[in-house]
Amino acid sequence: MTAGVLAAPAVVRGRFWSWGVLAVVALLVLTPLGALLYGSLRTHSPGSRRATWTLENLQSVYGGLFEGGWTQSAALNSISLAVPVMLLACGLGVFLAWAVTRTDMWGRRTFEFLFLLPMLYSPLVGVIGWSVLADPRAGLLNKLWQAMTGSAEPVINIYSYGGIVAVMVFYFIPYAFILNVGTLRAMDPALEEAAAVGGANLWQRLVQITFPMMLGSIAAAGLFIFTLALEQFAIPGFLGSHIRFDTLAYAIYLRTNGYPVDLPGAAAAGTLLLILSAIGLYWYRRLTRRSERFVTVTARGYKPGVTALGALKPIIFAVCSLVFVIGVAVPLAAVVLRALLPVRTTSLDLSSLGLENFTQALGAEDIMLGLRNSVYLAVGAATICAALGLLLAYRLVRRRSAPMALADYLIAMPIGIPGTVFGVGMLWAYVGSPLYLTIWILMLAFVIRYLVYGVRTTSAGLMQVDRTLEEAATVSGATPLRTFVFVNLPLLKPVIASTWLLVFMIVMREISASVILYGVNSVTLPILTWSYLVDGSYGIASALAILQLLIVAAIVVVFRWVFGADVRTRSHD
Amino acid sequence: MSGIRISRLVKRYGEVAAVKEIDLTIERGEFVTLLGPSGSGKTTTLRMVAGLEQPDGGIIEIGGRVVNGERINVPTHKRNLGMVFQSYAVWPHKSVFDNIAFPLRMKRVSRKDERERVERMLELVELPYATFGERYPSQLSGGQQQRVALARALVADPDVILYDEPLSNLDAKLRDSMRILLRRIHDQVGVTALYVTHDQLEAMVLSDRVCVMNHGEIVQQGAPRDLYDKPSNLFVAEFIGQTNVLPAQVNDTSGALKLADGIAIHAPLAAGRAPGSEARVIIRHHQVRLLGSGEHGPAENVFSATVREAMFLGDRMRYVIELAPHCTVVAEVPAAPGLPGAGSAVRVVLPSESCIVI
Repeated sequence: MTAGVLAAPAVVRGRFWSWGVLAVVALLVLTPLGALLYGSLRTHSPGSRRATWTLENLQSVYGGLFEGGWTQSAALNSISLAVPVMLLACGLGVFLAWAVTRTDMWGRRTFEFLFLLPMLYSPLVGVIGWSVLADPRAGLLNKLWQAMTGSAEPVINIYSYGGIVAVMVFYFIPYAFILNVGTLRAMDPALEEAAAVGGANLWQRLVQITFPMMLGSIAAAGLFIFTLALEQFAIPGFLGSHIRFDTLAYAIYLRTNGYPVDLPGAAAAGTLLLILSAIGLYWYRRLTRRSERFVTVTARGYKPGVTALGALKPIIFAVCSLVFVIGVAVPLAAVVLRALLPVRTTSLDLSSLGLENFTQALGAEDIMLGLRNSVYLAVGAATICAALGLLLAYRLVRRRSAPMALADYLIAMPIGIPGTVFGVGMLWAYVGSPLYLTIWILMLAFVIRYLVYGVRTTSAGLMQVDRTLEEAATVSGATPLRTFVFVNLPLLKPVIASTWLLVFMIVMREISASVILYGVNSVTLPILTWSYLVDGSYGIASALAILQLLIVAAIVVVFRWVFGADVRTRSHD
Repeated sequence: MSGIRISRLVKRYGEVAAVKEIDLTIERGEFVTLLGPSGSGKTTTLRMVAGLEQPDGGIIEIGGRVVNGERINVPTHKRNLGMVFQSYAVWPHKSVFDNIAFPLRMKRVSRKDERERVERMLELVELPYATFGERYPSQLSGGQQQRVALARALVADPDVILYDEPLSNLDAKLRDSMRILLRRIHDQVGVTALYVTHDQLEAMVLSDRVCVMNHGEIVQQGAPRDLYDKPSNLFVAEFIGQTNVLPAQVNDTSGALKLADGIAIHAPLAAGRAPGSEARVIIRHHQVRLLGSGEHGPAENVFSATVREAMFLGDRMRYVIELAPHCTVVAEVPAAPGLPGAGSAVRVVLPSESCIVI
């Protein structure tokens, strides 16, 4: 009797909260999408008195697809980049993950660390590094080649389709790597051993057993990289601008930042990019429909079976080393070198090495502002995402209800929307509000986009906390709040810390959405790096990229030291 | 089909020797079990026979062919084996049929033969093709998955089948029926089998011969009955069956011993035991007898005692009986009306023919 009287308000309060959460999430997530659609149907930029409804933008975007409009080549370019980048990055990433987790190759632990390095820096590192090395006229490698051979032709031209693909592939390999390392570790080694006993050699085991069972995580990595490659505007944007190879993401950027500004056109093109990434999502769902047939990462750990490579060992070691050298070491070294050369120089004069770029950068007001903004945004977004993620995950896992399940689904949506498109949607949604052109619109955009990381990683962590641990505390007389604070929080500390770290790292290098939304007072470090690069100030751009890398690396080191947390928790679901 | 010969097999993990110079010969068609606690080296030995672990020394021959020896290491997939794993290791992305057909495809058996042989195997493990053939592992119970694994291990006529604790993931009831199925299949197929378990009952039921392992060594081997009746050391006595272990001192070479508190007992004594030496008298719980009032016991080893605890176990009673303050034995007798309760004075017999002196 008493129980009934006391329980009723709690249940009602719980429902009220669930529906409240759903309403707020729906509002935040659906507003930019609705605004994008609204924008694509308007004649003029928001606020204009002459603005009225029209279908012209959509007509020119979609009609132009087949009649040689501006979207035709852009969409084709986007796809012709995204598909091979996805396949190559996935293939290499899975191969490296296998070599590191399941073989007796030399230096596996070291490689595992080295392959993840690109997650710490901005995609612009590859762009700057390879431009410094392989610009057809001024690239150091080309000059060296010409000096050695007397040839007038460059040996590598990074401003080419192949160059763009290569730089993108090396940037995305870590994602494929990290997503598949976990799966390989979670796979029962007996599954491969059973195939060996059944008479299958190494190659047959890989092709018929290991890789088919990993299809789930390979496809997830593929979709993730496909979306990232579609939204990636910095790499193809800069390298492609030299050969008029524009992607959809870059074309959208030009319409928001170029002259004349065409926000309705950007919104209409945004819907097209959105549809392209939705097609990727559709294929992913189709491929992974029967999830029970794949390995899924569970709490259960195995001691991974190690395959003796024998004579293949030097070959696989060489491939791994080559991927690291070409993909990470060489461009990174080029950026460091360029940052240490004088601000304006095209020659490689080692006697002139110094910190001129850094001192000049740290003395510039706009750069100090960008630095401050980036740190505020990264710390703020990471803290909000980790905290909200914790509260939402707790409700999701322990008090599951229909509105919460729907909210969970909505929270996962924005990460599937290309950053540029999301930026255009946010722009249309908040252009009249006081948030516009301040860092607060960026903060809001980051929280909406990356909250999913907070919710997903924390839910996964919480699911592994046995419910009886909480019940034991409750039975001992602890209130739900005390149980949460004294049982769940300490157990989840590493998970919360790695969520925070992940969001911090991503925001520190985010450019696709910020480049649409920034204003004079809300520039960020990646935006400034981009601007200096476009202006041809390679030295300053290099220094800024190095600064960003140093900040993130310092935070990672501190976190490993304090929390034992690292970036190897699953970064995507 | 062929036997296995292992000689002076060694495996080290760093400083620790997991397997210490084991010698073991398994005849064609024999079912041999390695029985021991975890860490005894039994699984490591099995995995070395499979080629899944590399020995640090010694020779392994399968069917007369050296698969591990000096500078010889035949890879697993060329050893012509079948193996059943503890975790089933049934591939989730292949149907039941494709799982079982896999070893045949590796041997490039024709499609027609393949189908016939897979169906025969499915029949053998009692999973009719019509119902189960096209199912996926996620649609099967644990027991059914283990049957698929068994069919897969047998389908390609292996020289030897290896079992790595195949029943320990199943629940008790299912284990019983799988044990019976395993033994029946062995009798039908007759392939040489090496089986690893920590469950003594499993070892007893299934094996022609049991090798008890401890700390990387085979401490005793023999037919299940012999191991049970004639354990040659304390470890085997305690590991197989439930046993009283009574510290004793040898009085004279005729078999008179003294237990704690000076209790005199007779037991068959091996030659060479010096009077005054330390020994242990071993007797199984169920071999201790309680005498009814007025019942005449044998001439020796009858003691007056007190029941300290009486536990009802359903089909039998378990007694803790105190012969003297420092000498208690456990006895198990079939449950029947009129048995004594706790605190009763009783007479117990430790029949000398059931006593073993170690």
